[in-house]
Amino acid sequence: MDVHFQVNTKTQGNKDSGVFSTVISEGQSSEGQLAEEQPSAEDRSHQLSSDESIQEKLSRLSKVITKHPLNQMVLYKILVACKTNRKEGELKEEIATYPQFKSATLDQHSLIDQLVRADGLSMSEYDGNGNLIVRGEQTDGVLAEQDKTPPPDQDQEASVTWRCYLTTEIGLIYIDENTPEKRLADLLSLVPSRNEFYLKVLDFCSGEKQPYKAIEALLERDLLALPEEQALHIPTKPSLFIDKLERAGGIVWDDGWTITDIGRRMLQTFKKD
Amino acid sequence: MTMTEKHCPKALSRRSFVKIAAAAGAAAGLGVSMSGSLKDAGKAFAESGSSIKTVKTMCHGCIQFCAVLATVEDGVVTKLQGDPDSPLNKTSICIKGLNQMHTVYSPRHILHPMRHVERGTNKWETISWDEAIELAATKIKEGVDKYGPYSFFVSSGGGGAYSGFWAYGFCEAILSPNSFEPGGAQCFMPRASMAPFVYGGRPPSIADSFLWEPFNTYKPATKMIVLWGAQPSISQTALSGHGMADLRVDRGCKTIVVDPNFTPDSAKADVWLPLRPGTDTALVLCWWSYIIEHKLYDEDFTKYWTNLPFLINPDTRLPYLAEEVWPDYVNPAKDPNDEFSTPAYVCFDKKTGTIQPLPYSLPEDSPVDPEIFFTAVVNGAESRTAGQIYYDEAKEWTLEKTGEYCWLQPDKIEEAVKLYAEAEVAGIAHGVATDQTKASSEVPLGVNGLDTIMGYVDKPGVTLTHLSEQYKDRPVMVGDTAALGAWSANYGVGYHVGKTDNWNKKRVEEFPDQELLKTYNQLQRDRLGLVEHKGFFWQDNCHIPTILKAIRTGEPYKPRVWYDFSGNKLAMLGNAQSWYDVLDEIDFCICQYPMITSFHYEAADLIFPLQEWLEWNGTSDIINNKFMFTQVIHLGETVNNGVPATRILARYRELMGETGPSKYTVMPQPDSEDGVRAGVAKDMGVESYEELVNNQDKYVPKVTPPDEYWRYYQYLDIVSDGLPGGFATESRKCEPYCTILLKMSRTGWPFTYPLEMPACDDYNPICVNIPPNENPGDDPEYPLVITSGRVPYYHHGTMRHAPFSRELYPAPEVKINPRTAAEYGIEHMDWVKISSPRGSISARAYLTEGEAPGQLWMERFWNPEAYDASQANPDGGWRQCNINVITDNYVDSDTEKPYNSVYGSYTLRGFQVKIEKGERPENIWVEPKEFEPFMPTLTSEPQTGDVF
Repeated sequence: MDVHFQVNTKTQGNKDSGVFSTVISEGQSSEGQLAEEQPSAEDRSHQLSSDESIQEKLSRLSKVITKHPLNQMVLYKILVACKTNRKEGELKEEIATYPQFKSATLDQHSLIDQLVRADGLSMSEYDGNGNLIVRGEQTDGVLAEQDKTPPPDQDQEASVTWRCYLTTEIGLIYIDENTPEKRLADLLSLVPSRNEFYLKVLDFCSGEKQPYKAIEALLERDLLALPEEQALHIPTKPSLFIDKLERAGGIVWDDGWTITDIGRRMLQTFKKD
Repeated sequence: MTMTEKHCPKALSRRSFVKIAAAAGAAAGLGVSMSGSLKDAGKAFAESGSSIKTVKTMCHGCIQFCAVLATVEDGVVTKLQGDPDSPLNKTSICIKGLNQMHTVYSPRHILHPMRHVERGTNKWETISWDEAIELAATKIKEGVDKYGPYSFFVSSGGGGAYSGFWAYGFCEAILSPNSFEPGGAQCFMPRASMAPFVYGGRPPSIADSFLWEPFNTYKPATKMIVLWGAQPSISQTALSGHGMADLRVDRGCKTIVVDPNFTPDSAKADVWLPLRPGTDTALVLCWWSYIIEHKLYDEDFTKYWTNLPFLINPDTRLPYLAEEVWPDYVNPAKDPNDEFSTPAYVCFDKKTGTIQPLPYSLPEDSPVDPEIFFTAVVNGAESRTAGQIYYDEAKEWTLEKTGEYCWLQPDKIEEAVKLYAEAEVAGIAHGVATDQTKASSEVPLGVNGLDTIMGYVDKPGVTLTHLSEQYKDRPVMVGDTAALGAWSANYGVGYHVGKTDNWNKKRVEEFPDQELLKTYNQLQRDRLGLVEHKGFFWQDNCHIPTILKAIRTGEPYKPRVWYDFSGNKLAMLGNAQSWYDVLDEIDFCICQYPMITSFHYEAADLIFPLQEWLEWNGTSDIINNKFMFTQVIHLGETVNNGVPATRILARYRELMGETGPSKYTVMPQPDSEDGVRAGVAKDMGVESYEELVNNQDKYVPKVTPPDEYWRYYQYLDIVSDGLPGGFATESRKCEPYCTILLKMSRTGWPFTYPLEMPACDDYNPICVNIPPNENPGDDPEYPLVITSGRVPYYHHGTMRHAPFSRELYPAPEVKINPRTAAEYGIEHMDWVKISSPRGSISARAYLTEGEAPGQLWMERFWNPEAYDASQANPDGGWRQCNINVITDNYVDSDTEKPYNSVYGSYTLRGFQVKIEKGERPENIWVEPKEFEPFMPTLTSEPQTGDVF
């Protein structure tokens, strides 16, 4: 079982069933905050279906986002953050607040740049008067390939006062195909005998932040009852549940494990049921 | 004056070096030279005279170490030659050793810690040692904080910087159970560990520095030697290879070579058996059958010094103990102090024609004359002797059947087995080849067993020898002799084979730190793949495909922070693509190595720069001579391979709020070059390192007197209990019927004692036929069988950046029989495409009658230049010519996994492929001029002092 984004040409064939899903779910941000209404991924795919390179672009974007686990969730959240046009400085400040950014291997600029190069974000540059600086042909808000790395034009560079970033259509499809709500729902449908443990962890992390050892103490004895224990020969470790819940977007590490908004909503739903 | 000052007149402190480097704008990445190239020095310099000195050191170019003299002119090494004081390599070294002149001064030799800006790119950033240690320790801590210590794992192996002790020790310090190395189950452990299981002594592996007896010039005795799956002339050219040449030429030693490949050793052999790859077990059983059938075995030795006469309980598959048949039996060898265990077994006595107790004694004191091959009724059950069980297994393998199955001429098999069995004294030395098949345990078990029934044990001229201190007590197999695992004894874990149950129980109960013992047992229990493959306990490793699957799936937990201690894992590991595929599951990958490889390009987040061997301090033995590695030069900020681990661990413990050394590790502790030097001096028996290096002619080599070093017939020496010493096995005899394997499979005994592991299927206690996993005719699409091995120019994944070697052997060659080549329209030196169901690679065709029709041979590793910054389209470079792209680790197999039962080895040799004419792949260099980017550029680098 893994936590890969679905569109990952490099690994797709070898992976077990994923927590991430292609089934489209709307209106969720990266960690469960409600987002503004957007067209569904199905609609977007339909709109763009005439373009044969969409799937290739989606694969390339996926490859960039999933390339390094420590950057994966940050990159996804940047895409979500840029559903509306975001000024660079403001965006960088927001990225710095992401708990996952503390462990990322790249700085804000490099992370944003990766998404621009992978066609997940489009970049716009403005001069001091607020005029858009056009470096080359732009189509549908996506920078032309030759303009992704601006030319060393000192005069033009000097005139750039700020940059803005907006998630592209490709980026929006990617977001919709990988909403945490869907990933979490998928996770809970994969091995029903484990749900008790997932929910126990969600519940445990819904109050104070919890260190790993506390979750280990919570689960370890009960884990011996799992049926797969016998088949695997090696005792399942509590980190299995933490890892999968984290990648599904149910919990996040912020100097301790804590539940996300989507995790909390999922927990409440299950408690009602 | 320190060594560095003495040899490096321009020595700089780290501080001054960094200052100079910064001033020179030396922040560098791969492909950015930190110095100028070789330049015209000018007339004034030419007339200024040179400082020339010679330093005794050792080569670290392969797994054996030759003694070397390094000539140093004005701080630059200008010549390497064999040290005439060496009893084996004498004045010679091989091309692998000479490559050091290029690799140490190579523009690819990394000199500073490097942070990888982005995996899969050539973007690197030079950072300080402090920053690098902080980054590594922090990332390990982050993983442990978030997911527990099992999130961490280590690997080692792969050539260039063997760091297993630090790797395993570091892993245990973090309280993680998982370390591995590509060579563990595939290229070391089976051949090295089976001999201790069979006879409690040193392994007869000529591929390592275990086997010295044939090269004993003090009392030369070896008259006949079998090289089974070994090619010392290529793999250990100047040491064992040189030794074998001397044996043949100077002493007329006969040789048999069992190898599909026509090597120089094959060419010089009295009999060469080019068997079909992977069919070794059939040939082993044929030898057993022939020797038994023709009564060529040493009857007295087999009868009294092996366990083959023991009657075996068909239910337990273990030998009957005398007390099981006669409850009132009093074992005369029983230790009244209940410390040493010497069981009495049950045999069929030829004298009385009845089953009788078989107590341990000298042969002349034995009350019985045991039958070796017999079936008798014991406790109402028809029971065979261990010898009978072996013979029943072997006898179907006639010369004819074996010849057909193994692609050999029956008369050649007979000639070989007679040459071996009719020799006055002989021995089988095995190498890497059989470790790389799923029969990795059965082949050494079978060939070690052959030596025991021939009585080729513990006497002059054989390959199963002890070289140990003289016995005082009954010999015991325990962890701290490395016979039963690298570390276990340090944790109070493990059964001391040869001691009684009560003694072992008491030892465990009285072990002073029960928490330590239980923690280590828990790590053993949770190690990946060890329930099935308990042989890994011998090397404290986990099973490679199982950890791969855990990384991929997170089941039963997810290893995710990786510290790789050496080598190129994409070149070394089977099914390289499957490893590439999980790199995006790795949170952080810490590496250390003297150069950047394609693995580092794809996977590393951080690299620590290690010393090449001309920068390295250490010691090693050549027979009874201890030599030293001397730090001849030192460039940049490179360190000894143990230093990063000790530094990172110390910082990690600080971050975790812990101080002092961890009680959970016995990792070697030197964290500075001075600490390493002190260890060298101590090992050489000299008061100080300074005294040692200033007087190398006096102290190097340190020689153990031959009459102390060479010891034979120790099993006959009477020891403290008044009985002959015997062997360090449970029965005190050689155990070609290997009971330890049976017990191991059922409980993990003796490694995990007192913990009982879950049982798996019984391991075979004798050699049985294990067919290759893939055979000609299985799949018409893949009609050819391919095997592999080393070439003389490189060792493992190292040295591909040595330009002259690359000029000599620029790209992998696939050897093909001309008739086979003709079927595919392939001519000599054509590029060909070789495909298996896993993928395709390219190589150049080398047509030779040395390969059987229908069989291919190729170099094992490739580690090319494709990521070089000078190329238009750099990529990882591991796909184009790497045979491990087409091997399989069966991680995705839905059916039964074709692993060796004991060690989990998978098949790297002897699998099915197809070939067709192909094209030279992009990014692969073949012309001499293309290797110019590899020419040495660091000869004018400043000599630097210690980093730590």
